[in-house]
Amino acid sequence: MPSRTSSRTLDFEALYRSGRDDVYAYVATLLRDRAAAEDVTAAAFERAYSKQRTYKAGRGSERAWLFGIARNAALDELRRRKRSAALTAEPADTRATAPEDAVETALRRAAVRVALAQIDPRERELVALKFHAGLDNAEIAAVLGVSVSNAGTQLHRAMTKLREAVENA
Amino acid sequence: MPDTTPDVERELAALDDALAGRRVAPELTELGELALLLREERPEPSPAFGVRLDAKLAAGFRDPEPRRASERRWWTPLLGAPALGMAATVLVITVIAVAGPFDGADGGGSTTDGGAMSATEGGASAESAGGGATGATPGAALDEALPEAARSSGAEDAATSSAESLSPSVVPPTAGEGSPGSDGRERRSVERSASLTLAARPRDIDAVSARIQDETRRQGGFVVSSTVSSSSGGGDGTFELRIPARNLDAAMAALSRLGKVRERSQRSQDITAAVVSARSRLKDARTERQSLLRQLGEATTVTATQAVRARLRIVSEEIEQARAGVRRIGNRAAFSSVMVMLIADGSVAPPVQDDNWTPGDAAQDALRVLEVAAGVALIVLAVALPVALLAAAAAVAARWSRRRRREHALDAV
Repeated sequence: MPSRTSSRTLDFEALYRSGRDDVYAYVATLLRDRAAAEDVTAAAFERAYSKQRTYKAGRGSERAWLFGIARNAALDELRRRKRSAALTAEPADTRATAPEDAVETALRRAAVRVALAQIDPRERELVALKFHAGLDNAEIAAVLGVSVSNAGTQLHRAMTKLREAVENA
Repeated sequence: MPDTTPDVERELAALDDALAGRRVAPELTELGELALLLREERPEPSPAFGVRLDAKLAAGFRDPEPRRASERRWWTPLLGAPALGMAATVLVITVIAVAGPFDGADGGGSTTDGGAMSATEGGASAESAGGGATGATPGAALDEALPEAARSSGAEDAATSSAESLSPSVVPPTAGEGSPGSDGRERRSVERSASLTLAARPRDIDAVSARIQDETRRQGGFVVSSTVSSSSGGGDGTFELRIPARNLDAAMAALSRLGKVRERSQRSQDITAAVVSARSRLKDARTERQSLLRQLGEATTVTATQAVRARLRIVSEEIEQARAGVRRIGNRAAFSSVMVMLIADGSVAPPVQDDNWTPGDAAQDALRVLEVAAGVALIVLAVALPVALLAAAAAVAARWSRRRRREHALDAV
């Protein structure tokens, strides 16, 4: 097993294959706009591709590095939207409840969806990183620039609020 | 730093267990189900988007979409400005540093380590140039010490004939009045003089003195007087030179290369009026002599003849004096007076030999180049360091500000 050194070469294609859908899921949840999420995801991979030589293994995992770039791209998109005052409404979910789903499950999914829309964007970002991008707490901490325990605390707080929102939905 | 409580850690672990498909504690089943529901709510990209992005990856993201104008940072073009400014500064400093050390540089001249010596060489120098001059006034010395070459150049005859061709009715302008051509003369007589103070190492005083005299002769001039004293700890020299006016600039340049120039001045004065006046006196005297000669031929008595002869002797002396006056004034215009003061200074760099470039000279040159390079590097560092610090601070501030704006964007959603 190769040692983790700062000079380790980044296997960009493998990172892309393993992270493409995860990055999209995270960005889409953060932006709540699937079309914009595609643009931002593409821009994030372009940035990562051009900056792959700057990756330092000592600073975190490859996925954390990639999601850091994706996060900056998503936040830039949010800033751009704010400047242009052209907030885009989230389109209807194309994966709406399938007819064969049980009613109970469908109701719970709808409640979760509503709750996700209601919670604070920062908390929604944590949920996206954890459940949609599949990052562990250490990777979340690296992406957000906080300690692992701090990331865990924030995540727990977000889950608590989400549970409350689901119950009230 | 917030510390997670055991309950928090247990719930976080339950989330990980649920996502990993492991069993979750009964009291946290609801939390585990919520985690799975959240994962199921994960947005999935469309297949078309996946194909497009795969194609971009295959192309190596060579043709990324152009950045939108709104995303371009206004200060991006300014990033190159400090680099350009630094490059220009380095260039200017380099030019100044390279050109500076050789200004008024030490010219050639072999080094002579003379012991205590004192000498007055005025007569000898002047004699070697064509005539003795010690003890004479500068004007007389010039007149008498003029080299034979200058005397035989026909200057006197030309001056005399030129004087005779001038109209006596033309009144020369008073110094400082009128334009150069207001008196109708196309060619004006100008007396030029110069002074030069050179510094040389004490051990080089004798060698530089010799080179001053050599250079004077090489320019067609001569040394009117010179006084040189040198010792191991110091010395000085004074030289009164006469240099052909047409060679004055070249001579001053050559003399300036013999040592470190401490002071240099040149002066010019229009002496056209004096020239015209001297020539008029000569012409008047000659006219009177011709008249006296006619009177002598017409004299019939002894008394009259003696009287005319006596007057002729006086007029002949006046003609000689007038002729000498014309010659002196002509020489003042033809030869420039140059005073050279030579002083000893231990801080002056050693002279570089013109003819023999030795390994020692090469070492000195290399040392000099290193000194200049080190000086340039120091100056560049002095300029670059604050600029670099400012740039670093600006970069940190810009990064912090950008990060803050990004985070703020998240708050504003």
